[in-house]
Amino acid sequence: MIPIAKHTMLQSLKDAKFLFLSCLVILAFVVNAFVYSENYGSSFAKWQEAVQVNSSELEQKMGNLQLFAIHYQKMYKPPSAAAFIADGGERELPDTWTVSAFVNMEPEKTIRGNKMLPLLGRFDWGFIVGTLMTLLAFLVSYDAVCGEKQDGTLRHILACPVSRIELFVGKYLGLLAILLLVLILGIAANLAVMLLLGSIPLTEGILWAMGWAFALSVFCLSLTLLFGMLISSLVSHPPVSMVILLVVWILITVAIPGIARLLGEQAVSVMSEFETSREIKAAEKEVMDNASDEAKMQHRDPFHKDFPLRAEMWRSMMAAAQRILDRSNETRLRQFEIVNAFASISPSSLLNSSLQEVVATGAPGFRALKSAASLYQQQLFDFTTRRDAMDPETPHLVYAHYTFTDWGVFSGKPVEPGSYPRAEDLWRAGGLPQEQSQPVWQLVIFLVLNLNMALAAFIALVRYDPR
Amino acid sequence: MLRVLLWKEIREHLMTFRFAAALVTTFVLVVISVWVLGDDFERRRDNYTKLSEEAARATCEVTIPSRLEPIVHYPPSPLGIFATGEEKALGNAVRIKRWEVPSEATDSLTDNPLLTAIPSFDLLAVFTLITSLFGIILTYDSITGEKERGTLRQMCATVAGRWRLYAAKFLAGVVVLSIPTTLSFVSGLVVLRFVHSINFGAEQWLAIVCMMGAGLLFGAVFVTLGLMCSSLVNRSATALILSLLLWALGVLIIPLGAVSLATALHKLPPHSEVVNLQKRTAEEVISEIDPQFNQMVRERREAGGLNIKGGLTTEEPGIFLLEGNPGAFTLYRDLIGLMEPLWQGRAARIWNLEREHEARLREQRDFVYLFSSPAPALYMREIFTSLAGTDYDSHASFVERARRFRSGMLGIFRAKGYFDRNAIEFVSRLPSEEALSEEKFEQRQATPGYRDSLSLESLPPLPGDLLPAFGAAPSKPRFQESMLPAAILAFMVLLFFSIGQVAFIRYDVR
Repeated sequence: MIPIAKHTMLQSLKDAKFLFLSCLVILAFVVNAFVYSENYGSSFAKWQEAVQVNSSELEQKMGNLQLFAIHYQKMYKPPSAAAFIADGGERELPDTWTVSAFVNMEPEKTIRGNKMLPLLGRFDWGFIVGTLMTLLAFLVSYDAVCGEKQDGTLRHILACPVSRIELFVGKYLGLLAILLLVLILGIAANLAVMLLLGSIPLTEGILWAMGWAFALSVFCLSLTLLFGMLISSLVSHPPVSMVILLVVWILITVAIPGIARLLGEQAVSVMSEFETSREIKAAEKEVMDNASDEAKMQHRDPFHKDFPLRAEMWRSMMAAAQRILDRSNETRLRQFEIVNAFASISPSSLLNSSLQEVVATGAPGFRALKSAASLYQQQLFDFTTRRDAMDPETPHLVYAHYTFTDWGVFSGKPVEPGSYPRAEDLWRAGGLPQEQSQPVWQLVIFLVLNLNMALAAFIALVRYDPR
Repeated sequence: MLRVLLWKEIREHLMTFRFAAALVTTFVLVVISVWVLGDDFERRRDNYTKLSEEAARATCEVTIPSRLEPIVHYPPSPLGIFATGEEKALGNAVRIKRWEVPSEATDSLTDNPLLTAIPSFDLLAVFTLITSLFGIILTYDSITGEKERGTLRQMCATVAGRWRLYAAKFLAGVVVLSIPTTLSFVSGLVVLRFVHSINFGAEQWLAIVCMMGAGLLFGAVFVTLGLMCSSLVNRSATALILSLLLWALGVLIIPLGAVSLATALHKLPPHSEVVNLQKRTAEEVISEIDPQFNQMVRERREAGGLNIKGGLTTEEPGIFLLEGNPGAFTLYRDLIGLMEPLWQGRAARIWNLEREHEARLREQRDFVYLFSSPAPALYMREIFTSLAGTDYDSHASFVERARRFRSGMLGIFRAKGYFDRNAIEFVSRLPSEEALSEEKFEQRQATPGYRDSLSLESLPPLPGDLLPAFGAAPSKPRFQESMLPAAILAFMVLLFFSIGQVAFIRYDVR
């Protein structure tokens, strides 16, 4: 077993094509580190500027708790320092949420990239491993069995006192070892460049993410390798297995993710911005119509001084609007996640989506932003209620009453600097959310797929006719 | 002689497994993508019709000219089914505001903004990735394979000559590759015709034929690439790896890496400059208007009463006056005269800055194009998206039309004297003579129930022909733009063909 593994490794290492492709992969890792270091530096600066503008605007409202509470703040998603692992379309996804103590609106895109550039995909680890290295895995494994048959060496090997399982495991380990060698060299080069440029902070969270990314990559590569061996032991000529594997490679890396988008769009329909705003208007009107005549009258006449009824109506109107906004955001997110789920039939998409889960970009990142926005709104509301409770002179009706702030529906006392919750505090260093998820499930799925594929490949080898 | 060789090569290709694989894969993927994108197009078209009708209705319901803010929509391009391009990522509606020059279509009224991060799988993607891949798979062993089988020596010993042999191989590759390409494209068109009932005009049919031709030209690039690799090395396996590597570079790595690398090297100035200017100038204008306006109000108060029912804000253009005495109406007229040039000046300043920003975006894009210029996939993309009218420039030309529509609207307003002498009719529905007569004012006030009935909704809507129709047609295929990239692709074919030809003449057939 060990000699076979060694032999396979040496044979691949001697091969010019392998060396060439592995150099390409390592170069890709270097480019990745360079590109993302540069981009992170500039997008972090942009983010800091935006946050600065937001807090200076907020500081102007600190003289009055009411102005502070109804002020629409911008909550910006910090750029993920770990985007080099899985970009997830960071530059195209909405990155800003408008939040006040009473409402969190629709997400928007404010820190923009270049809208003129074609959307082709990203040069992240997910691409390097899921696309380039799976091609490498297919290229080293397409002739693992049928190549030996064509050379006539398979019969010799099987005539030796080597069982087919030993042959299988030996081949597998040998090929996996060289793929791992390339992966490790690539990651080392990647780390070296990042340390050299120094703009990506290698915090504990990011190192953990890299560890998970490595483990997931190994499983993904092993799966593609086993698939390559399976095809190699199902056909008798290397060119045929090559063609099959190339078609499969195109399918798993490009076609399946692309078709998944089309299917996802058909499966879940989303509300357009236009429909959302129309529904909000209708819901607000409904609340108005159902309100008591007295409340309606108070609502129309801004000089009417009876607050509780009006407060009640305002609150239910805002709650109705918020429900519709939440539903619209939720369906959009669900459509996005269903697209990802469809795509996960392909191992390279599964790798990509689990990497996004680890570093919180793409759909998981957007979900993190969404929950951070509603958490922040809750914090602001609680803060306002708490401050208002300390003021003995108000009727304690905390609601978004825009017109006259000096009326005292709730406290209008100044807010002390530093006492209020801040949106930036909801993120850890490097743009990771407070709770980093661990893709244990995806790892288990990869493991099960690997075991099945190994079994299939082994059975195919046992049934293989070496003549 | 050439014909005999050609027939032999074609027959050989047609019997291979790879040809079958190419046929099935291309066919299935093209039909799926055209089917689903056809559905998608119909949905977007219906959405467009609905939304533009809705926008037209909303415009008709406006009762006071100063509150006009028409929305113009960009119809989806039917050829976008074959090349979605940037169509879905960019907005498709512009709100025409009097005090703002539109710099882009921001309102994306149909799509999920979250999905912009995922590229669509269209015919362009199938051609770029799969046809090209089969181009090299068909030809990588044309020469090395014959050498390995030992037939190359015999072929070279015939009277055909190496030149003819090589040309026959090239032509056979192109002909064989065109079978799955044409077949799947035609079946896609059949799906569109019979399942979706989407009809194309004559110009669009021409564009479709051009797309077909571009697809074949692009396939030919990779056929010559495979042949070149095959005549540069001795063994089929090496030829395959070499051509795969070049394929991956030309189709995946260079286009993708170019975008990443170029954006990292050639950084953009932040757009926040423009946003900050917008805020700052708005404050400037308001702080300039406010004292003068207060002065005007004070003067009128002192001279005689001001009696207003209406809405006024100096921050937004939607000022209107439902009812008032002559003093109130002249106040509004003077206010319009005061505000209009200030806001227009601000709009011009912001638009200048936006244009500068856009020029810098273009610079970055040129940089990206420079980086990815060795990649044939780039030219293919340009040809398809400019023919389909789904590239950035088509979008930009729509926004340009929206800008022209806006200046047309302003021209009409100016011609009607809305910003100076007829400003009263601009902000209210009362004719000037009636608004400026104290007597008429008192008459109106004396009418029982008149004051209570005043509201924006109770006024009659504006005449429908106040503004011309926007006339939104889907963008036309831009044939000129696709010429240069097609010429570059043809040049690539020629280049690879000649390198391969020379290499083959020097090839050691033993």
